[in-house]
Amino acid sequence: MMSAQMKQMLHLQWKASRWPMLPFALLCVGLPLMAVSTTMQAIAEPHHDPSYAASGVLDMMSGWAGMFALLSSLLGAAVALTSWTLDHRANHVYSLALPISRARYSLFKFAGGAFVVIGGGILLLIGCLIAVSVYDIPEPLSTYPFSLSLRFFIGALLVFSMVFAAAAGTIRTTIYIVVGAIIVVIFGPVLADIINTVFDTDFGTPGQLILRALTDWPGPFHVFGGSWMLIDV
Amino acid sequence: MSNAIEARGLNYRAGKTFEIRDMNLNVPAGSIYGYLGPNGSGKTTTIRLLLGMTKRISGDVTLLDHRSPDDLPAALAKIGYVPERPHLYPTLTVAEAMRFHAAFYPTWDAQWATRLLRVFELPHDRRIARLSKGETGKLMILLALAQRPELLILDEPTDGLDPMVRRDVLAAVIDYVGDTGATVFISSHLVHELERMCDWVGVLDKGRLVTEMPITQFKAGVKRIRLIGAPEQALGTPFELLSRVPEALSDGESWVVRGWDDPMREYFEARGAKIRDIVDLDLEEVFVEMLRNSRQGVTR
Repeated sequence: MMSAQMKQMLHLQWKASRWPMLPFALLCVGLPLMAVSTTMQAIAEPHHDPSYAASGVLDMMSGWAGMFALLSSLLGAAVALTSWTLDHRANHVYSLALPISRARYSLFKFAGGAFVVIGGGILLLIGCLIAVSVYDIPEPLSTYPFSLSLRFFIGALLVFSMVFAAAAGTIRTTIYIVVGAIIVVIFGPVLADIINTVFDTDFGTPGQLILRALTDWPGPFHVFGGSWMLIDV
Repeated sequence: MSNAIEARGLNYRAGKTFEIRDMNLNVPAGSIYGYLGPNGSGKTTTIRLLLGMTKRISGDVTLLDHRSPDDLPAALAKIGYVPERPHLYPTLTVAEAMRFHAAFYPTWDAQWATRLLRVFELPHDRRIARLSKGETGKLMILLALAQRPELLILDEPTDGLDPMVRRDVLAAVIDYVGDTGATVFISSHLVHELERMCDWVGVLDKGRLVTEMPITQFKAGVKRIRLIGAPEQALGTPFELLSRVPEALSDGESWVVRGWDDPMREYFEARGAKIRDIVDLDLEEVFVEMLRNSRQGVTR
């Protein structure tokens, strides 16, 4: 049973994000339709060799894969930003005066945002199901509407979580994060070079190590490294 | 519970220019405590420190017997807070804001909220972003009162409001206190406004609590005494000398004293000074003299 507080927080999230989310909603439904329709139109052109239909579809769909990943990231970031915008505008005064702990309030906020992200995932699934049902997919290719939508949802949720955490803080905190990142990028290679020279090692730069930790399994960004193809073998 | 709010040794610093140093604040339960101070004296900062919205360097705060910040949510459930600036979510309508607020306060009185909505003539279906300043002020008071708080903390609640709205807002607060006996902590630089409703007063200046006492005591025996031939040194006075300034149009002096009683005329007579006039002061004048005394000191 959802508490009255949670219901109100969901309502608040809905009111805060419904207009900014409108273009994302349209893109979530429209992107799979665009991807499949343009692909099918391309391979149906007379000069196109039918024997290469399957490989043509794979080529074109792999081109669209990055768009799905990008939309997923943008959706997550946009939802996270709309989650905190209203609080930032009033310096968090209203939320801090509410008789609940800050952790609980943040949890409510997170849950509200996650519901919107789920909505994005569902819309994408609808778009995918429509797209693959409208067009005849060449043999021996298969469609993956559910796994793509799940990957899309996880990717969006991941970016949402990160931006949500960063946006929850003050401008000073954000500056610390950015300055920290700059230090890692600029001074990291120099530091690694010194360590490698002094200790005769092959130590990667901190930037590379962090990137590897994030993208290699079980790093959180591993989800962006997999297949984002709606139609695949 | 003798004090609704207690602060002990409160310390806070913002940059190099402003600090609250070793503040001890006592707001008696059931009182209407006027927290007076000029703009920038630290009234809002004190309130934010009390409510745990700003981190203090040191000190203890107790709100309605709940220690802050450990037991802050329990205290906040019994506190109605109206900040100096609008803080509500602008995308919500008035009715939605009421429903949102109600969900967090178990003591929310829906019937009374509806009554206040009618009294304040607030449009329930209008978005907060589209309310006028007066309507927003009334809505903030409505939300704070309808949660039936034991303690109301009002930070300049009528600042910038027109006289009609100001009267409505203060009347609602006074009615509520009359019905429930709740404690009110109200900050303002509009001294005359608080004079009619407060029974305790605290004066803040540059982050320092200059004084706090019952308003009757604050105003008791505070007089402006116009003198001719005032003594150069004000030593061994039977009253508290708040300030002394030369008069512009005569060769006399004007003294502001506290704790005056008529037999104290003898003090001046014994020193060859002549009293030309004794004038009662209102709260605003007492407040101004108190600040002058605090900032400059007096030549005694």
